[in-house]
Amino acid sequence: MTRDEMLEIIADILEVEIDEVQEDKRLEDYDTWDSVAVLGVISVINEKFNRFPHASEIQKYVTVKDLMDNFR
Amino acid sequence: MMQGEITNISIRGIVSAVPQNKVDNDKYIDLFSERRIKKQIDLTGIEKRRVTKEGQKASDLATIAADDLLDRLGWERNSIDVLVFVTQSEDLSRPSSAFLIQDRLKLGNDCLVYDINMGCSGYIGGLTTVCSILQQTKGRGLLLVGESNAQAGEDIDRNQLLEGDAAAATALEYCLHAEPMLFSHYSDGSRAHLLYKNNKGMSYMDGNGVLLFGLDTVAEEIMKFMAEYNIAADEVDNYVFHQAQKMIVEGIVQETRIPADKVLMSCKDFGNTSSASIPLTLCVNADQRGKKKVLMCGYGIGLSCGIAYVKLDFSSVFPLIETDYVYDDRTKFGL
Repeated sequence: MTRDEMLEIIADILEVEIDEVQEDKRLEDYDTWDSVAVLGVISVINEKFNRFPHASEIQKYVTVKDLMDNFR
Repeated sequence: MMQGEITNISIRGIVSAVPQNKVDNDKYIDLFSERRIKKQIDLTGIEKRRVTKEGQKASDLATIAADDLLDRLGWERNSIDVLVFVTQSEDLSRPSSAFLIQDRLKLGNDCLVYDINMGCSGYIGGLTTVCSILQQTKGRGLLLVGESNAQAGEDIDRNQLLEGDAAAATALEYCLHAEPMLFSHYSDGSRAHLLYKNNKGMSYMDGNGVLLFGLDTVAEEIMKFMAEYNIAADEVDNYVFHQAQKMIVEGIVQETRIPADKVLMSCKDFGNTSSASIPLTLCVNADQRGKKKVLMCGYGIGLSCGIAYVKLDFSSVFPLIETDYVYDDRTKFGL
């Protein structure tokens, strides 16, 4: 998955424009980072990479970069 | 692990009841931001719910279910030793709704009746309680479960789109030849603040906290339970997990590596019905045949998790009842 594709998916999950998705920004600083957003992340990882993230992995999603690192 | 084996108790029948009032979650798309609500419906898999009408309570649904069950089994009303109602939708601050239900069902007085304040893990908690009592009395008991806290108004919050109303009745009886029932329980009061309703009427749910509890602790408890009792994933005929929402159930299934095609579901049409979700899911799938080994797991508020492994004859799992009936006994209590 290219970097641009990742940014597009994350923008969709956070319901913001792509240029608002910054790698070093904390997820909790987005108003839309809630349980529906987390379900969205799990769903993407499940569909695109055919795996279900472990709870310990989900707990480590702090910044946008953490999401990108796990999109594999 | 707090665990045990219940011998000589048989599940004789299960009946579930839901309100007639169907709520389609699509109707909230215009009310909230459309994209967000569509996403939530898609991800949680909860499309429709049943919601009680004005004045209708969980105890009404539970009584209808129990009445139908007693008639089907042909049990004398005064043969019941114990009636336990698991609910967080009580009719009165006191006494327990179980007393109202006892009177409606015309049960005898030689009977222990009370409510248990448990939520999503309450079906297993109730089973453990009633079966333990029946091992002493060697008689018959009724386990009722149910909630009527679901909302359908325009002022509801997003978490409430997950909740549906339902109740169920399970008939249990002492029987020397019954297959043993295995169970375990887990409770963590240090996480109680993740999901509560306070005395001022405020409800709170930390969605992510509850999600992680499901994917982590609940999955681990199931794996520990199966290892402890040497249960192979493929020897179980059906798995019935509390229907918190689709993604949590799918996550537990993936984490525990159990066969997904053996997992029974009901949340698409009925939502999260708390303690009623396990028997409701069984009744929705009542077209199954024969005796099945069923692994059940309820988890949620507390936070808590209860697991039971039972041999269930699906000929005693009866079809769902839809009802709007309200008992007229509230006036006795100044309501």
